[in-house]
Amino acid sequence: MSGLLAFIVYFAAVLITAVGMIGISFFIGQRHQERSTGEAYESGICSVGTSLLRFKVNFYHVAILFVILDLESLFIFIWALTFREAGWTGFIVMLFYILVLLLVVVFFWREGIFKINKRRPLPLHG
Amino acid sequence: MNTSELFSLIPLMMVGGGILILIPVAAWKRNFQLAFAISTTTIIFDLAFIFIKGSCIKVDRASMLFKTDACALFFIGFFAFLALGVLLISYEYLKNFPGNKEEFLILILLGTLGGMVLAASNHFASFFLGLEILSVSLYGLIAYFGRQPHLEAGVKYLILASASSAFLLFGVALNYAQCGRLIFSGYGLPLIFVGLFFKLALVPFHLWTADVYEGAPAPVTAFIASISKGAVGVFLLRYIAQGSMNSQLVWITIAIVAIASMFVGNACALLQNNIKRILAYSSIAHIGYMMVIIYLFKNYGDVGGIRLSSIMFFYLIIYTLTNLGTFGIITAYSRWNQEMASLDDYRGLYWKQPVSAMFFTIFLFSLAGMPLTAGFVGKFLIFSAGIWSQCWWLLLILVVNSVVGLYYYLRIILTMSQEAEGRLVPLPVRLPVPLLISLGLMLSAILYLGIRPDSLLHWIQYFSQSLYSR
Amino acid sequence: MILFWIVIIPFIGAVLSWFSAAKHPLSARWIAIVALGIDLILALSLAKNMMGPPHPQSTASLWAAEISWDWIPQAGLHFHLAIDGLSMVLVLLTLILGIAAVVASWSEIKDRLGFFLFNLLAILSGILGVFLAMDLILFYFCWELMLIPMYFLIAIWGHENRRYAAMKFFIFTQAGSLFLLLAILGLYFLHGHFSGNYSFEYQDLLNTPNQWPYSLLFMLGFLIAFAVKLPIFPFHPWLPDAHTEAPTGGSIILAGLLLKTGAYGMLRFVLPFFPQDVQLMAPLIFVLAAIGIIYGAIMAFAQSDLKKLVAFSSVSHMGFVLLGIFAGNEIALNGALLQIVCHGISTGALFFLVGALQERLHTRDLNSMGGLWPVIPRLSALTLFFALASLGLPGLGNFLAEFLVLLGSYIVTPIITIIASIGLVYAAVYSLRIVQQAFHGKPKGTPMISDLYNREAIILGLLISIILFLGVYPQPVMNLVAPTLQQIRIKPVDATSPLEPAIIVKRDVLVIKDHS
Repeated sequence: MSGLLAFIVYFAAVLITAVGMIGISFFIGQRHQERSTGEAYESGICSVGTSLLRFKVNFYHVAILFVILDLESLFIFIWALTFREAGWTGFIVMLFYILVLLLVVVFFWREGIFKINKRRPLPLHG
Repeated sequence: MNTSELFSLIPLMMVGGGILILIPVAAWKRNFQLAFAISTTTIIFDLAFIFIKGSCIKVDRASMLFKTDACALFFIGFFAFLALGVLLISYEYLKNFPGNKEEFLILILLGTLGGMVLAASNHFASFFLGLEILSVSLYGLIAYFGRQPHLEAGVKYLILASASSAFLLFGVALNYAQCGRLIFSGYGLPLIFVGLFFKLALVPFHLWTADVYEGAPAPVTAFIASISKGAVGVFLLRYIAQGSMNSQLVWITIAIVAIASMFVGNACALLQNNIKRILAYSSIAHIGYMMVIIYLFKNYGDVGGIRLSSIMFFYLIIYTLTNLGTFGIITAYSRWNQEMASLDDYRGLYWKQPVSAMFFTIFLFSLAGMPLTAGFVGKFLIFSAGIWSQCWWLLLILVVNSVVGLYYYLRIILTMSQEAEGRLVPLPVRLPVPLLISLGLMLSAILYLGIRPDSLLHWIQYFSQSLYSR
Repeated sequence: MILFWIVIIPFIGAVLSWFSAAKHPLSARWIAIVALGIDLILALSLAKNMMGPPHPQSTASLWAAEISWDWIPQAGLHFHLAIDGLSMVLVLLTLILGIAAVVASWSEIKDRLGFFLFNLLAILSGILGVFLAMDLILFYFCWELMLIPMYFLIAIWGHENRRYAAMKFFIFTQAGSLFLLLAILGLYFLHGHFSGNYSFEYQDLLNTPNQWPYSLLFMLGFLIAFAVKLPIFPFHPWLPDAHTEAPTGGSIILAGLLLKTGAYGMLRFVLPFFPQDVQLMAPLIFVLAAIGIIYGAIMAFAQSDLKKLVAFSSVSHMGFVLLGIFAGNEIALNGALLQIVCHGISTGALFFLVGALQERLHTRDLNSMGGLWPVIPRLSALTLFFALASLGLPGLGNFLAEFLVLLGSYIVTPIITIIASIGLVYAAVYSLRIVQQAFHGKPKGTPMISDLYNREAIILGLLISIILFLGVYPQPVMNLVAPTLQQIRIKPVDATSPLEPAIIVKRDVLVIKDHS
C-alpha cells in the first residue's frame, strides 16, 4: 500500500507541475497575434512548402538497412559484456556473425541500394 | 557446447550454410540455374546427412534451445523433403520471371530453416526465433512477384501475423513472469494458443486463410500449406506434450475450436469457385480433424498401442504431403503473372492432360480420405481413436463433415471430367521434368502410405516416445 | 491363389483394354470379354469342385478355397480371400452380368472407350473383391473401390442429368460407408478388448462377445451402409437418379450387382455378427421392407421414363430381399438369395433392353413409344419375357424366389407378409404397362430401326436360360448356399419356440429334398 501511496504522490506531483506550468502561463502570459508571432524565435529557419513530401524509395532502403544493421550490432554489445566468459569460442562465433552481416552488406551493395541517385528499372508490372 | 552437440546441429546448419552460399552467389552473378542447383543440392545433402548420419547423433539436446531427438531429426528431414518438393515445383513457375529469381530460392530455404528450428525448439526463445524466420520469409514470398493480388495477400498476412505474434509474445511473457524461465509450461497458454491457432488457421483465427491462399503465388501457397502448417503443428504437439494442460477449460476450448473449424471450413468450401480457396477452407477443416485428435489426449494416451501423438504426426505428414501435391498441380498451370485457380479453368483436364488430371484426382481422393491413399489411413486412425475413447458425438460430427467435404472434392473432379466446351486454356504441352519429379515423389509417398502405413507408423511410434521427456 | 486371380483378372483386362482402346477399339472390347470369360471359366471350375463329390468331412472348413497373405500383421490385417457357396453364386452372377454389360455398351459407347472399359472392369474387380474378402478392412477397401469407377461411369458417360446423379450416388453411399468403417473399427476394438487378439478377420470377429449397447450401435453402422446400397426405403433417393442417368452398362451393373453387395453384406455380416440385435431390429426392418415394396411399385407405375420405371421396380424387389433376410429362417433366406440372383439377371436384362431401345429411338419416354412389336419383334419378345419374369410368372426364377420369401416370412410376420404380397399385384401392373405401352397400340411415327443384333440376342438368350433354369430347378444353387445359410440363419433365442418345428416341416415338404 505504501508503494502505491508513493506512486500516487509522484503522479500528483507530475500532474500539478504540468498543469501548473501551462495554467500559470495561460493566466499571466500575454496574448497577442502579430505578423511574426508564429515564426521561429532566435534560431531555425522559416518552413517552406508542405510536409507531405514524396521521398525516393532508395532512402527507405537505406533507412531500413540502417535500422536492421543497427539492431544487429546490439548483439555485439551484449557479447562485449561477456567477452571474458565467452572466450575464444565466443570470439569465433562473433567473427562468424560479423561475417554474415558483412555478406548481407555486400549483397545490398551489389544490388545497388547505396546508389541513391541512380534509378533502377523495377521489374514489376501490375 | 561440445563437439557432439555441434554435430547434432549440422542438419540445421547445413540449410543455413546453403543460404550463406546463395547470398554472395546471387550478389556476384545472377544465374538462376546455378542458384537453383545450389539450393536443391543443399536440401539433398541435408536429407542425405540425416539419412546416413542421423543415427550417429546421440545427444537428445544440442543446447538449452534445441532438441535433437529422433522426433526433431525426423521432422527436420521431412521438412527438407517438403522443401525439395516446393523448390522443384517452383522452377518452371519462376523461370520466365523478368526480375530477380534467386531471392525467391533464398527465402524458401530461409522459411524451411524457420520450420526446422520450430520442429527442434525446446525453449520459447528458439520457438519464437523459428516462428519469426518462417513468418518473415513468408511475407517476402507472398508478395514476391509484386502484382496486385500478391501484394494484397502479403499485407494481409503481414498485419494479421504480426498481431498474432504479439499475442504469442504476451503469452510467452506471462510464462516468463510466472516461471522466471522460458521453458515450456502451462502459463500463458491461452495467448500462446491464439498465436499457434492463427498460424494453423483454426476458427476463429482463420480469416486470413482463403485470401492469402488465393492471393499468394501457387508455389508459395504450397509452402504455406505444407511446411508452415506442418512446423507449427509439430510445435503444437511438442508444447502440449510438455506444457501441463490440466485445466478443463483448455479441453473445452480445443473441442470448440476443432468442431467450429470442421464445420466452418467445410461449409465455406462448398460455396467457392476458386480451387485455391476451396483448398484453403478444406485445410481449415483438416486442421480441425487434427484438433480432434488433440482433444482425445484428454482421456487416453494411446489407441490399442498406437500413441495419439503418433496419430497426430501421421495425419500431419500425410496432410502436408497431399497438399503439396495438390498445389503442385495448380503450380504446373500457373505462372508468375497468371494463376490458374478458377474451377472453370480445369474443365476437361482429363481429356487434355490425362496424367496430371490423374495425379490431381488421387491427391483429392487422398484429401477426401478414400481407400488406397494415405488420406484414408489418417481418417481410419482418427476414427479408431474416437471409438477407442468412445466419443460418439465427436465421431458423428466427423462423419458428417467427411461427407460434406466429399462434395467439394468431387466437384473439382467432376469439373475436370466435363467437356471443355471450346475453352482455350493455355496449357503447357508437357509437364516440366522437375515438377513431375516432385509430383511423382508426393504421389508415390501417398500411395505407399495408403497401402503400407505400418512402416511410417512404426517410425513415428519410435520417435514420439521421446516427446514427453524434457 | 485362384481367388486372387479371379479378383485381379478383370483388373488386368481393364488396364489392357484401356491401353489398346486408342488404336483398336474393337480389340479393347474383345479383351474385356475375354478377360471376363477366362474369369468365368476359373470360377466355374471352382464351382464344379464345390458341387461335385459330397464331402461331409469338409464341413469343418466352410471355405472351398482360401488365400491369406500378411498385409499389416501387427494390426491384424490380412489379405484374406475365401469363397463359399454364397460367394460363389454371387461371383458367377457378377461375371455373367459383367459380360452382359460389356456387350450392352458395344455400340453405345464410342467416346473414350478405353477409360469406359477400364472403369467397367475395375468395378467388377471391386465387386468380386467384396464378395470374396474375408478381412473386414479388405472388404471395406473393395467396397469403396467399386464406388469410384462407378462414379466416373455415371459422371462421364451418363445421360442428361449425370453430374447431379453421380454426386448424389457417391455422397449417399460414402456416407453409409463411413458408418460401416466406424462399425468395423468398433467391432475390432470390442473383440480385441475381450479376447486380446486384435484382428479384422471375419472368422475371429464372429466370436465377438455380445456387449449391449455396443453391438446394437455397430449393427446400426453396418446396417446403414448396406441399407443405402440395397436400398431400404428412406435411404433410396440416390437409386432412381443413378440408375436413370447411368449408361446402359452402368445401369446393368448398378441394378444387377451393386445393390446385391448390400444384400450380401447383410447376409454375410449383419446376421451372423449380431443375431440378438437383428431380432430386436427385425420388426422395424419388416415395416420398412413392406413400405419399400409398395412404395417402389407405386412409384414405378407412375413413371413414364422407362429406366426410372425399372429403377423403382428394383426398390420394390429389393424389399423382398430385405424381408427374406430379416425373416431369417432357411426358407426365407433361400428365397432372398434366389431373388438376389434372379432380380440381378432380370433387371439387368431389362436395363439392357431399355438401353437398346434408347439407342434406337433416342428416347426413354414411354409416352412417345407405341406399336413397336412389328418393327422390332425380337427385342419386343425379349422385353415381354423379362417383364414377365420381373412380375413373377410361375416357372421363372423370380416367382420361386418371391414365393419362398413370402412363405418364410409368413411364419415370422404374417401381417407384413400379406401387405408385401400386394406388391406382387403392382408388379404385374407396371411390368405389363411397359409391354403394353411400348410395343402394342398404335405406332407413333416409328422410324426405321434395326432389331436386336446377334451378339445382343446371344447374351440375352443366356440370361433367359439361367432364369428358366432357376425357375424350374433351383436345386444346384440351393445346394451351394445351404451350408452357409444354415450357419447364418437366425436361431430362435428360445428353443421351444413354436415357430421352429413349423419351419422344419414345411422345408422338408416343400423345398429341400437332399443336402442331408
